[in-house]
Amino acid sequence: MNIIADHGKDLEWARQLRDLVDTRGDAVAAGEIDRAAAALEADCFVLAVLGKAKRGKSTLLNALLGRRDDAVAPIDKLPASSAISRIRWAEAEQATVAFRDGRRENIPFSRIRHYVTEEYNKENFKGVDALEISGPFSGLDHDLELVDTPGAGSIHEHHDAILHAFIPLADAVIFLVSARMPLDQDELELLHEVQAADVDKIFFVINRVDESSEQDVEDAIAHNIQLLQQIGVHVEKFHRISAKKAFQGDLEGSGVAALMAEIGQFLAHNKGRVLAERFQSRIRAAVQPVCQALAVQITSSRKTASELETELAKLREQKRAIESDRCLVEREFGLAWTRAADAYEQAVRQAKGIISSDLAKKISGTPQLDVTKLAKQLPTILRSSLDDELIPIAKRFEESARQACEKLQIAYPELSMGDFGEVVVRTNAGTTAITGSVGGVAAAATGIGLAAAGSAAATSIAAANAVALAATTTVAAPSVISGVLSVIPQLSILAPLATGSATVACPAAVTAMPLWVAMAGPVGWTLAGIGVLAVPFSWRVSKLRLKDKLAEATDEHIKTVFCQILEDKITAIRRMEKGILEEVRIGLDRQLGQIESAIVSAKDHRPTDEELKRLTGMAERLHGLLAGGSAPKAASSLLD
Amino acid sequence: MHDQDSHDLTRIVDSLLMLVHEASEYQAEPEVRAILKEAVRALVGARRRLAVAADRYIVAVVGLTNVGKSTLLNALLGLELAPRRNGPCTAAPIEFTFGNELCVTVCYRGSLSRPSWRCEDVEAVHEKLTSLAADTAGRTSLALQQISVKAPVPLLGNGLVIADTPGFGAAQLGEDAGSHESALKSYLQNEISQVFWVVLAEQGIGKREKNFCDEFFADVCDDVIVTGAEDWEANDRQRFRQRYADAFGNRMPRFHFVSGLKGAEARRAKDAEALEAAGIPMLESRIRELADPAGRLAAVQNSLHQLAEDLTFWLARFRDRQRQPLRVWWRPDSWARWRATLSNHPLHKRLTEQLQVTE
Repeated sequence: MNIIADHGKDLEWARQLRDLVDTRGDAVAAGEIDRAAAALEADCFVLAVLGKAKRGKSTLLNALLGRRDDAVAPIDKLPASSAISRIRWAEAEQATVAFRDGRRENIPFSRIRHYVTEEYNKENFKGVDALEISGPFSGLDHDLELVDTPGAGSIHEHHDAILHAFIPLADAVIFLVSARMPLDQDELELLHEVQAADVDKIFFVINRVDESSEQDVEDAIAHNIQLLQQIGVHVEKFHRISAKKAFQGDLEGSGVAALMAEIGQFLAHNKGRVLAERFQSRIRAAVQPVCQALAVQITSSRKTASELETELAKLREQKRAIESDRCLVEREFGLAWTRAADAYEQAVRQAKGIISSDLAKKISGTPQLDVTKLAKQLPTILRSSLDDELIPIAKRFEESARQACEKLQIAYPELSMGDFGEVVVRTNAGTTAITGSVGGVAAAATGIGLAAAGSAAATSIAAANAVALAATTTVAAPSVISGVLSVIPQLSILAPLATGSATVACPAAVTAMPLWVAMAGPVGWTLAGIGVLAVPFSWRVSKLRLKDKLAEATDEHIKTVFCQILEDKITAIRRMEKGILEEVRIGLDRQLGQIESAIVSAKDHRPTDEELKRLTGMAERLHGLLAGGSAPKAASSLLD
Repeated sequence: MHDQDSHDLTRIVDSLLMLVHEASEYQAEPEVRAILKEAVRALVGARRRLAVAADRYIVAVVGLTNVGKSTLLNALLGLELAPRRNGPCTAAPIEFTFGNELCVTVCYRGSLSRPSWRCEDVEAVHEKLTSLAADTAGRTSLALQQISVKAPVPLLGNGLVIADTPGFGAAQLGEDAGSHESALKSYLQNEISQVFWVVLAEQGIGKREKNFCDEFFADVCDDVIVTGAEDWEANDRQRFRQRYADAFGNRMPRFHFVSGLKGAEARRAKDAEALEAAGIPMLESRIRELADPAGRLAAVQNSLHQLAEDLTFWLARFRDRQRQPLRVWWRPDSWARWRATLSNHPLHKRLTEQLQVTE
């Protein structure tokens, strides 16, 4: 197989595309093509070692590199790695720290741990983006880049954010689990993320097999395979290794040699294909918006000033139409939300009555002799009856709230790009073109249509970039609405993993999403409030009056609890409706505004004939190139 | 004698709880309210311990699946009962109580009958537990609620119960999803006096398990048992504490570094020195301290003083920061009521002095 020649063709293809993009001065797309091309030109396959914290990722990495010390990938008894380290072969040792703010600094190997460990770089206060390390590592193929990653699911939140940003850049993954512990929810979620990033090849590796009996390892593997099968991951083989033994020098006995052989085999047969696929998908994702903008510009330039005037009028008219349409959707949402809140409130009030009367009955029906005992049990009884009544009610409400959000998302007018660069609005009534096409320039610029037209890789790269910009903040404080809406599809995918309540099953980033939290948290939030309010029951009053006292205290307690739910929580829930609508509305208004101003400016700055000719030529070439490149999944629909 | 003490202490905690709770409703500043609410939470925790102090005192050993809870219990109790890893395990807690003869009793959910088996030796107990797990695996209709094991172990005197709880955290799919955890949650919330949280030294503490702790047992957990720490130097142990200290905020538990495996071996070999090295006796004495009714009361008293001190310190600092010379912290009628209850009790006197400073 002639790998180099294949890449040569791809690179030439990308270079031509880049030249074209360059003439338009689109720095973002050009930069992305450059990076993708550089990665392909280096003919370097990115293999990332992923796993939960403390599974032995760095140890394995050192062993794969053939290192005898842990200078390159520091190891510690506590969770160590806190940053991405990209490791490649070179004749001379070199380590470069790339900081978030763009600075780069060369450091000796002995100082690597000062940048990539939680111990020395707590909460990443040094602002490290990644470490690039190269050296004459004996175990490393020259065209393989190994990547060490922070562990998932540790108490260090920013590690998960870093992982999330990096995963789409991997070509294949070594997924490391431990024989010591069964697969857990965090690991399934990590795997889910790998799949979402379109990474096809996963080497499943089970570490620390030397520390458990043969039978235990056997059981663990069978258990893991069965579990993975259930979420649709078919595992051909679990490599058994002892990273520690390998690090100490025993590659054969540790099973790492066999793993390396398998990786080598895979690379020999598939490297070119996988790299080319990932490269093309990256390039197409980068060029897509340029094509759209160009096509749009050409169509708009062909129009006369009066035609543009008409288009503008049409847009304004459509805006009014959208306005009424979205008013309807908003009102429907408001109604659904209010209904859910009403039903919730009513159910809570009913529950209050039921609990009050149940407990009153219980207290009055208790024989005088058993009253002391009842007094002791009462807090528990009260709590469990609150649980029994309130949790199903809360669940029902959460479900209706989720459905309302989902419906809002589906029914709300959405702008996208049509096949000819015109802006299309999709509403309940159907799809209408709202501008001829000039608005498309703005539309492309605001990112409309990218998600619709781009491949899965495009969206994940876009998402990853966004996260990389502000690794921790993105996870910590997303906006309410984007939170809600983006949670939903993930939830439905993860539903089979749910361990009782939806929130438990959310991936790390999603758990931090605020709607359910703002709504006073996951199912069971009722308990939280009640614990705080638990007012003592066992006042030692005379036996005769104890019953009355108990009834009184119980009543008081129930009143307080429900008062809090009815006044604080439900009020907050009712307010939430406005917040969600406001964000959706602002989003659409901003897009429409930008399109309108784009049409206005196209009207004012008309391209000359010569310019137009140039643009047309460029579009034709781009079209040709995109259609001509070996065509995988992300074919361009726009210019066909 | 001790009943009287416990009775008085209960009354003091109750009336303090009312005082603070009413103050938290009475104060207008959100910041002050929040602090008072936190104090209420602490008091509720103290109250929860006192409520069970008189009867049974259950220390639950809680942790992720496979961190070595059962091994640790082997080391503590000297019983070889740990089930096989990855094999079927019960979703029910196993309570160990004192009895002159070995005996296994089983409660099923929603059933009156409680079958019980007398066992000749520890081996037989182990077999019984294994077969119970195998019998009930996957049969939700026959839900085991609880298993009790009576054993002649001196540590279990004084009404102390040590409970081995099902591990949480392992991925579960299908119909069973969450069944283990929900059973565990209800047990932790309703019956437990004290939690020993077992974590594995080499795994550290993960986000998910910390959340689980916060949600279900943070208020009754003062001890984190770090197992598998046999080769950890003092320096490493210190770093472990520091690394996870942030996660606990101001409710820092004690960390005990032990080796369940080495301890169980030493117990078998009757090697006192090795047992000591594994940290087991230290843990035993901590359990005895908790199990001793007088010690428990003393612990609650201490925590009340600590709370009163922290609270007055915070309130005074808040007052100084606001530059308001005089502030009324307590609702006057609550304060009067507090003054009236058990005012002769030495603990009450001291607490009153402490809390009065802010008046």
